[in-house]
Amino acid sequence: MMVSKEEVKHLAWLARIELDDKELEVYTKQVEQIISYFDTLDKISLEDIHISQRSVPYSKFRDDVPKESTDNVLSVVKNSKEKFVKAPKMA
Amino acid sequence: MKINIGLEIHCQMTGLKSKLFCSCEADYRGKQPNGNICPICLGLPGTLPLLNKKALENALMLSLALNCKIPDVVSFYRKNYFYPDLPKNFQITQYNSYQISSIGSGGTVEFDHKKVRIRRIQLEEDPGRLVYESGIATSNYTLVDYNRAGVALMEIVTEPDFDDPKDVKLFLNKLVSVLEHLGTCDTKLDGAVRCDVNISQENKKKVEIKNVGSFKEVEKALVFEISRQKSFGIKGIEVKSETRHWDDIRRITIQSRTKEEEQDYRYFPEPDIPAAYLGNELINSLTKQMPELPDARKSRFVENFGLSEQNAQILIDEKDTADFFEESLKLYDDAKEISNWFVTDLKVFINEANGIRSLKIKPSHIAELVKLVNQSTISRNTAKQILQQIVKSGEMPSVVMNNLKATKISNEEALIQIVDDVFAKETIAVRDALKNEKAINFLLGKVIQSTRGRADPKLTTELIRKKIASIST
Amino acid sequence: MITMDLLTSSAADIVTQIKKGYVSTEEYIAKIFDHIKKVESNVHAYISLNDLAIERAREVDSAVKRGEKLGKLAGIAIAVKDNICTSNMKTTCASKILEHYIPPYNATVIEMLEREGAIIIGKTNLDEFAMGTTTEFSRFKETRNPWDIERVPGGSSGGSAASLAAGETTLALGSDTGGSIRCPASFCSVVGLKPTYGLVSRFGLVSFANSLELIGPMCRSVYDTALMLNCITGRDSMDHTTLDVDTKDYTATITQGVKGLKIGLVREMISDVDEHVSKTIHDAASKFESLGANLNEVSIDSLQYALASYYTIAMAEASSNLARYDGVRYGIDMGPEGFEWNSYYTKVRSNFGDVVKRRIIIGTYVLSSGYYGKYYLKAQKVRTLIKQEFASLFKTYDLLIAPTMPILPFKIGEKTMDPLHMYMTDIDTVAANLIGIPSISIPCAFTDGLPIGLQIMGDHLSEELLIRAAYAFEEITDVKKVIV
Ligand SMILES: [Zn+2]
Repeated sequence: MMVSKEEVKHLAWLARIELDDKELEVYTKQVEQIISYFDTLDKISLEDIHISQRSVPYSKFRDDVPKESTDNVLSVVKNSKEKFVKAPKMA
Repeated sequence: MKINIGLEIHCQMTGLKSKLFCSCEADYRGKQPNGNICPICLGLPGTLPLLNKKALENALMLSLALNCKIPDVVSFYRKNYFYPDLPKNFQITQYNSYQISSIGSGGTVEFDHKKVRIRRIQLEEDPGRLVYESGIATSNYTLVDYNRAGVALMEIVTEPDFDDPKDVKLFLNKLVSVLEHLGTCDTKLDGAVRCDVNISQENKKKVEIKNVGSFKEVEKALVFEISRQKSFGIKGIEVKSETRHWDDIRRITIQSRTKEEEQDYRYFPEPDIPAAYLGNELINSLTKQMPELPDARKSRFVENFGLSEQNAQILIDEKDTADFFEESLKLYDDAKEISNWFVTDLKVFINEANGIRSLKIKPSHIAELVKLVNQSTISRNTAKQILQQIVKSGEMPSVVMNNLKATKISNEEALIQIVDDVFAKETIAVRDALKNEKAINFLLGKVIQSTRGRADPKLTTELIRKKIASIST
Repeated sequence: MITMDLLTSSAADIVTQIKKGYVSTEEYIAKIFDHIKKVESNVHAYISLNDLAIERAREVDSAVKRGEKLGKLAGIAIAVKDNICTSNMKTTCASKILEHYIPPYNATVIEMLEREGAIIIGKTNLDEFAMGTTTEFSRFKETRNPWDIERVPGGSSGGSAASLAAGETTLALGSDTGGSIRCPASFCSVVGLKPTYGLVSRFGLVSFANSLELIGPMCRSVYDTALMLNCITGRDSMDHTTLDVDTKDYTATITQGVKGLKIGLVREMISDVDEHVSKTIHDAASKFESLGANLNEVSIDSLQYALASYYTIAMAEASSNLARYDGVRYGIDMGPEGFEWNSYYTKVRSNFGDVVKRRIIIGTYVLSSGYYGKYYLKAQKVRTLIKQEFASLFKTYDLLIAPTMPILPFKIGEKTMDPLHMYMTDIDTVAANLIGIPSISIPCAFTDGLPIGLQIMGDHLSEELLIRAAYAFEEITDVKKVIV
């Protein structure tokens, strides 16, 4: 599969990763190399294969019982204001 | 011109005690910012989602109620996109493109003798809440409160089967009633329901109206949007395929700020939650537990209580109203008379108060009121006056009645005096009445007027007839 | 007081002496810290050390004096890979993104080990977010192979393996997504077990590829591995993917040997490997025969697609797991105020290392619209196919053996420029992750001073059998596991 610089640029945007021109050059080559390797998956016929998915009885899931978190969760937050988490601006 | 309208509705599962994937409280309202979070719903590294099985049960109940097909196994997917209200920068949801993953699909709902198809019902997590100190455009930063993050949502998606905003309203009424009867979503809570609407008119592009904040606004948004598109047609302007927002203050739809970047959500199966096997046992047991739904309740009201379809419909449109009605009935067994109050005078107060539970009265009030009227202790008009007072004060009708000294004047002597007074004043009318039977009603009206409604109409009519007869002979 | 080398002894021996009061936990832990001070400038195994370890050691000693009931690992030093969450200690994933991050909670395995009296002495180095085979891609330091410090220790649990081999700890925890426990175990001549998927809780393991990875023990002996496994298995209410199985004592059956077991040598895993490796593994196979096992060569055709399937799935999951690092709620803080959010996120996320960024981009690619069916879905189907092939083999065979790594530990920097070439070194380890079976790497031999590891795989939940076979092999093999 051919991979273009524009594609890699778009992927980087989707992943919110910045690539400078040099990085874009290198990444495009590497991504193409690796994707081409993944293309070996085309060599095998998989039509009859159905993906086996692990399932567990619904009763194994969590009971609807509220619990207050005892962990000091907000200790991880660096930027806050009046208990709100401070994030960048939207516009 | 044919219009196709489809809905995408998000309802918070307010009937749950904890969030969808962690044990934080589902009721985040009124808590201090970020006071209802834990490592899981804040998306801390190393945490894993823990599916609330009651959420599965509740969504399953709704799916059954809306006649959806239920798969043997339901699974979850990740919807990947970045946004500051999203702690993990993906949302755990369900997705039907590769397999049926959602809890319900292919359902139908009947309302007002019409039908709409339900495409799917799925579970997903609510994001956090963004706060702008000085408006979105001018704030230098955004404040985020994650208390809502991870609260369970049901997404209900209809096929584009509606062609009239009025039908949309009727459908939403029905949906609300179903949700209320199931107890899964209190639609009256602020922010508990949100609705996206898509409209496409014949030969025109599809327009989506996002995030209409309450069901009551949906019809208004639709009516506006359709007329906007019609006026475009008249002017010969093409309708663009776009996303718009409903501005509920200006009562118009406005174009969303265009960041029409193509979204690519890269859905894939959530690896941290094994698929949930539901099994017939669960479905059977939920079917057994299923509370009476609005349709069945309506039929019962019609058949058992002899109510008209129309009146029964008004009663079941809101579960609280129907419950109130039945509770009143237990105290005083006159379904017709009681129901009349609910569809007339009381309805006005219910609508004003946004629900009967906001009024000060209890079923015992209505039971007593009807009883007083039936026993002819008070007239219907007096009862109306009493109702006006008791919905606000919560006093019992008999108390108010005594205070008003509102007892119906059924004392013959007192009434004869009043009838004599009226005859003295209304000489022309008396003359008419001698010739024309129907003019008696005018005199009756005058008597009732001068007693502010307290005169017993039956007795008064009798007295008037007697007096007319005595004059004519 | 008994004289034993506390730096090289097994956990089983040390814990016995501690419980009898013959060994002071405080002295033992202090000795390890002294040794760390001495060798760390060569090995670079640790990212951080636990200041509270000595205090914990004293607690154990006073509990011994009071005659209290002690845990299975009372006082034993344990090194923890730095992608496993420890409250009160930084958990960096060897990433700039989490450089100063202190989790507010402990991973389930940490809780379990501490309940048994183990003492965390430090957090070990890894490739950033466990993405690598060499530990060269840590954003803080390059861990060296204690047997030859010019060479890589393997990865991504390179710090844990190196700390064991260098006598800097007695036990260690690693995580294995595609070989990350077994590869460094092989390169450093220690034992590393990747348990059956679901046997050990992942709660608190920072996710790289959730459907593939697991935490597992790394030790200098098979017995210690069994002892440690005893302490960390079981269903966890914090992890829905854990299995509903009873805990077992894996030491109970450890001496039962391999007599009569059917063992398959996997042809595809040995056909294209370094000749020293090939010879060593064939010798190992003969040793199993001499121990009474029935040995045959077996073939698994679908293995040729394992690596492509593995990397497709691993990168897809990684691209989603690592989306949460945006510098808003925790981790790196670049001062969000004034930034438009997209540009802030992009700026923050550019602090990922090259290896991580590349995997995120490829993972994004294979999930993006139009490619899901071509890559992700096919990879999952191949996974099912491989599972089926292994399942049918396990109808006949009790265990499968193969080299852990196709090559010997190589020089630092030798393969960093060619990602695909680097991926190829995982060729023999990824199958166990794809299908969730247990796999253990044990020291097999040295050639030219470099270790070679033997891999033993079994069906789901066959850890007992794996450990039995590994123990039997270890008993008749004299391979060095520590250099001090
Ligand atoms: Zn929570």
